[in-house]
Amino acid sequence: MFLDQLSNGLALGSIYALTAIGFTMVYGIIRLINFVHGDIYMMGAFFALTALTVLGMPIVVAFIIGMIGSVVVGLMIAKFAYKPVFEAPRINLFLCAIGAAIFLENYAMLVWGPQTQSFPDIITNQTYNFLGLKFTTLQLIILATATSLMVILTYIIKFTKMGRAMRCTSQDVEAAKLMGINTHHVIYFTFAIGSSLGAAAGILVGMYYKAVYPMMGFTSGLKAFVAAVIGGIGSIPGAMLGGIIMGIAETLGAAYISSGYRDAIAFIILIIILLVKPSGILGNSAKEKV
Amino acid sequence: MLQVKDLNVYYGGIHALKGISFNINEGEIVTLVGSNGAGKSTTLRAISGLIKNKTGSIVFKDEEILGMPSEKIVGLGISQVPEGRRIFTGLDVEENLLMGAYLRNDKKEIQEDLEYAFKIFPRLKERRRQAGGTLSGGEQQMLAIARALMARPKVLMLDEPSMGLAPIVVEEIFECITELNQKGLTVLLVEQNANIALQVAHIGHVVETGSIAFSGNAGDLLDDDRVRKAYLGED
Repeated sequence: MFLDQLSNGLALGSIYALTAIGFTMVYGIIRLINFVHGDIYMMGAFFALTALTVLGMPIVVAFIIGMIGSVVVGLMIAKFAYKPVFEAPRINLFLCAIGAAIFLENYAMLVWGPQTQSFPDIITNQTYNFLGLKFTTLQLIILATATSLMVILTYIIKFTKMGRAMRCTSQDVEAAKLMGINTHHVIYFTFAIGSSLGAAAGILVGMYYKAVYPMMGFTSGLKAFVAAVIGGIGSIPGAMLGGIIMGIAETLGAAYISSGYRDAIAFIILIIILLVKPSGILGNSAKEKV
Repeated sequence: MLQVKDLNVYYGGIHALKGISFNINEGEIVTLVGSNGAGKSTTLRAISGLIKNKTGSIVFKDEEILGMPSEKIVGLGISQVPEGRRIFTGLDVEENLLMGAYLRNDKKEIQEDLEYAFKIFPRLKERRRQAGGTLSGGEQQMLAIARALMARPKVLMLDEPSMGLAPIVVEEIFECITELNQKGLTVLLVEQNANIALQVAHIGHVVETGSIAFSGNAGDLLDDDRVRKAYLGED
């Protein structure tokens, strides 16, 4: 039972991790809690579902369409909702994020309807055994997809020029400009990557729970935010770790305590982390030499 | 090479620069000296395009750069070593240096310049894999200068390079500035430490409350009574 729940938690956790990365990246670069992220995740799921059922595309293509669609939505929000208030106090940006979130939720209800839509069964599940851990095919697909996306992301951030520019911009926007970095491009690029990962997570969740609905981004967005804070907001490895911790804690909690407490567990962990290490597990608490 | 004409800058309702004008010729070290808050850093920030709310004219090699975004100005050949160094603390020394060459695509030459930077500042080479934030103040200043040089600037602007450094380190840094200038680099230097700045510079401008109070050859300014009283602490 414990091992069953563990593989369940790993799959769920890797999805949280993907979502949390988007949160943490945008926060790292413009210090905005991007509350629209959960809805980008929902849009991704709907785009993929539409491509799958209405347009009859294969799942891999639908997956990519979902990611691309969300990138477009994410960039549009950055351009039309955030860009005009970039220079304004952060609270204005934050309000725009909430406004954009409400807009997307209602837009999705208008287009796809408020009811829950079922995600078709595409994968025939088999159970595999790894050292006592039991995984279904779907769980393996989720883990593999999430892991490879995170590897690609880490590569981009660590070794490409754009990645270095992102790290610089998140540390010091002005100094980045003095290096000749077009920080606006970096910000858009960050939104694009964050949105694509969020969409991937949304689609994986849709496949996992076989359900897609306009408000699906709300709780997940909140939980991903919690995961990002647990790991240390602004830190990408932190978001990955936070996501996995959340996923495992949630499934184990649901199994051993009560499934009614499922959503509460995330916030209990948050409170504990904030009490013990407010900067998060991998967050660096402002240690700068002057 | 660089002509600043009637530069005005506003911070909200504050008129921070009130019509500053000066020229820099190729190969010169020009310094802006003056007390805290006089508008020296603001002038550099305006030239680098970090301040939006400004009027006047800044011409670099016959091109108006006043409204240009920072990255374009860097691309044209004006690099700044900002006040407080502002190195990327989470990146290692080598990555910091490579950021300076962000706009360049000539990989081989970047590698050569990297070696050159390590030659001027051997201490950076010893620490090339160390995070920028773990360096001492003097090393950070060297890194900031080397990083700016990686862009192969035609004009190097330095904002308070002596700030917070031990006298012996300050001397080292200024020797290096003189050396770079002798190799042909044009320098615009902002300093509160008027004494050392006027020793290395050719031309000096004294900035007071947002405008240039008086200017002259650096050597003459060092002997000027007004400068000696106000900025060198002599009676």
